[in-house]
Amino acid sequence: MAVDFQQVVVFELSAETYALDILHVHEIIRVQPVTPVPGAPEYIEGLINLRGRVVPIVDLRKRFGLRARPIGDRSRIIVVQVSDDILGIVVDAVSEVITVAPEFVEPAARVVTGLDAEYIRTIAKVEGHLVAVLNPEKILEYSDSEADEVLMLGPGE
Amino acid sequence: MAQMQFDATEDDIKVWLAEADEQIELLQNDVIRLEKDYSDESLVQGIFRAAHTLKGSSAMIGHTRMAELTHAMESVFGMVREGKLTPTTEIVDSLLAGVDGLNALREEVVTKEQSDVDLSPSVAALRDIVEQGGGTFARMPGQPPAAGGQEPGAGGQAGPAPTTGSLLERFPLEPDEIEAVKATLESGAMVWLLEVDFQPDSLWLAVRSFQSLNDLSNVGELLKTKPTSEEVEAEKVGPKLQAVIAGAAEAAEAITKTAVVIEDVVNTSLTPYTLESLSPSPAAAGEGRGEGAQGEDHPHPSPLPPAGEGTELIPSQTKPPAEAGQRVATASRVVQNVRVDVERLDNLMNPVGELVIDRNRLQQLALQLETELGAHDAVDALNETSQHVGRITDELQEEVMRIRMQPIESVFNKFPRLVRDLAGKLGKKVDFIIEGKETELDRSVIEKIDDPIIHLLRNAIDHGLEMPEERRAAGKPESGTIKLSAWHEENHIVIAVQDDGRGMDPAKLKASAVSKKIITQEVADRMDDRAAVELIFAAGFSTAAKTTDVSGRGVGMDIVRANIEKLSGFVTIETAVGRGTRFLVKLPLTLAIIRALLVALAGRKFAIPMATVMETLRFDAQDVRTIKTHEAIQLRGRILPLVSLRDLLRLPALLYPAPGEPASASPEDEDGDAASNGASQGMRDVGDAEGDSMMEMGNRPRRQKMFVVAVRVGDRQMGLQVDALVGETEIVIKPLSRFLGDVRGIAGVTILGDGQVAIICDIPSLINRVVQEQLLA
Repeated sequence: MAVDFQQVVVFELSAETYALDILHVHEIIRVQPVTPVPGAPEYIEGLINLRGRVVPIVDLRKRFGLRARPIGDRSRIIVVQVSDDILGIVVDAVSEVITVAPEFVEPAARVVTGLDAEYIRTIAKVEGHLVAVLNPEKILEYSDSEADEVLMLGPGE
Repeated sequence: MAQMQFDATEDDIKVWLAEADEQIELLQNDVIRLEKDYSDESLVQGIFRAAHTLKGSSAMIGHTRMAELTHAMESVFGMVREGKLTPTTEIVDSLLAGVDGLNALREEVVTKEQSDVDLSPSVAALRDIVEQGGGTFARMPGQPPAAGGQEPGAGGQAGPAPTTGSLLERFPLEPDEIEAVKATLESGAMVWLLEVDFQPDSLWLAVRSFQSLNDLSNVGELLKTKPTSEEVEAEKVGPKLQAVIAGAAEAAEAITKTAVVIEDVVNTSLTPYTLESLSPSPAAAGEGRGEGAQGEDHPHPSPLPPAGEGTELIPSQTKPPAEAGQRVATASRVVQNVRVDVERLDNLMNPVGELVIDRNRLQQLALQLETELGAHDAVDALNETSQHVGRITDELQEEVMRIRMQPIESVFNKFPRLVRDLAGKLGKKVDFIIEGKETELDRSVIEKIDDPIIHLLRNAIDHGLEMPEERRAAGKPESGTIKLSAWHEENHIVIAVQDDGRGMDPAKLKASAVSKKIITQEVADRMDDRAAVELIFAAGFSTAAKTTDVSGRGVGMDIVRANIEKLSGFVTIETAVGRGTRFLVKLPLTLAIIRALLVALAGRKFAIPMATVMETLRFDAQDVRTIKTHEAIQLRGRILPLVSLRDLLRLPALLYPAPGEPASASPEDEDGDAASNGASQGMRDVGDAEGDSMMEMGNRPRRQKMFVVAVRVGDRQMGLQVDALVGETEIVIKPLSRFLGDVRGIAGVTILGDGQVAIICDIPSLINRVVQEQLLA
């Protein structure tokens, strides 16, 4: 059954390979200037104007605590859409779009990667490598505690 | 939950709900006024009519529980209307309980599930009221009909419709009515006599008659009916209904169908009038009421039933047909208001917002071209077009905004009940006054202001007003007064909640805050009265000795203020010990499109809502004074505290290079000297430390020109130092992404004419930040 095949966008982040289900990928754009948001969580790079829509850009390395890398020629923003929310993720490079057969997909819990297992949906075996397919819902999840830390202001708050 | 079925299609139910909502809302708003204004005839009449209509329409869809409840309520209203009953507090309580019941029952129509609300106590209470008031409670389904109990004024004729005899004998018409029927016939339309017999022992005769007239008026034009609609409303009905109805020939089927499907109808007949049938035969004139009417000296009393009917119906029969015709015309007139789904209005707002952005962009482009190309025909043409587009956009925007404006009434109307209930619970006496409920503001604001106002009202009743005995002792009237008012002030709406209670004592507030460890004694000593009063907005502060279930629901005044600020508004307090307190909430009229001042900070543009801006100033750095540890400037003899907006927004932390952004690309550079100093430097030293730029700001060169935006929130004024002033423009407010959470100090974002995303500063919350920080310093 064709529906069992999954198409994923494979990308690089801090020398590791990850993937996102293509159904969640709105589009891939070049890195562009952002408007930083004072007081926002640190992993928010800022906001961009995507054809009239204001889209927040997230640095996944900061979110995941990975080693930072400078923006290079191959850097891209993957615009991810989950239900009504839209979000850009900065990655070091987008490698390819591949189709993974169901027998090459395993649940995440059994494999260890650089990321917390909760951000990973499945692990796909691609050409002998293991690729973590991210869980966009989890990445989009807004964490109160993180924001509160940044927002602690003045007395009485 | 039991599933419910109603005797109506989904479309009918929508219509029913819209109507029922109107009636319920009227009851909700007006029943509470009965206590005081029961002698106001139009008020009582309006309430009665609403209950009556609701009774009819709920019966129509087969919602018996609702019909039963409205019937009980209507009986009470009826007695009030006739002056037989004075609505005491207890009676109004029962009626309000009834209104609550109606709301629950209305929900049933939406959910199609039977709610577990038990109405029998409500209905019983209402019935008791009627019976104690000396009235008789009219029969309802489920109750055995009282022996021989005809509704007062019910038609005396109990037999089936006489479907024989000439039409004029069956339903006498006045000569001018006959002329009207003739004229209709001559115009090519049909006129019928419709006769409907209801089950004589139906308990719903008035409702069925109401329903019949209502439904029939949809399929044809009612020229004359018996009973008339006034009689139906007064429940002067019998088991028979007659109507002269006009329509196209094809309408006959619809008319019969309409009549047949009404419940309790046992028999209908539809007979067309012809021109001949309207010419009274000499025989009919001799025997019928025609002679009775003209023969004053005729010795015989009229022996026939029509005379009996005639006596009962004299009021309607003597009514000139012109008036009857008018009534029909009014009923069938096309409604000129259109109900629009609010979602559509919101959808309309978005493209208008985009258009505003593009208009700004067009104007900017035209300007740019003019600078580059100089005088050129194409540039002129573009300028002209862009100005035209601009004008049209303005008009469109204004019109859309106007459509979205609603009177604040819809919010205010909920409050009399709330205040009454609260006051009752707390044992306080309250006169509640509402002023300015016609004041209009944008839907987007209306939806969000009720919570803050509810809290302020609760606070006023719970903490503001004293107990009656305390008030008496203080020489005040026992009843406290709470006034809720609204008015426009420039582009804002001001909502005031005022009480004449005990007021707030700054010394006590300070002591309380110190004991709750919200502030230290040292800070308290430095506080002026105004700051002390604003302590009630501090988290964890409550002036009541114990938490009541009224005010202390875990939501404090801090949340109230935060919510108001989220709407780009602010709240201020005026208070006097022993005299009372007034909270003033000032909100923008709309949240969608506002005027803003654009300023440059660290190479970026930021928007400051014009509503908070007093003026913009240019200063030499050496003019800055340091008072205690705070900087200030002198403005026309007044001291204006000065704060760097960069510091306030915590900008230094953000000065890492935006990915791939060349430092020179910042568009502010073209804005001249002011924009480039500090701004571009900030862009360049980003790599290293965050603290550096702070230092740079602290040791600013003495001769440097600096730009200051003087802002005001309530009676607090402040100078915000910015890198450069960019200009004034209209902006479309977009909310921050949910993903960013609730970022304090930012009211939202917007897309500027050049495509950049700009942050909109939340000035009230930033000023509060300064005030708190300075207290702590």
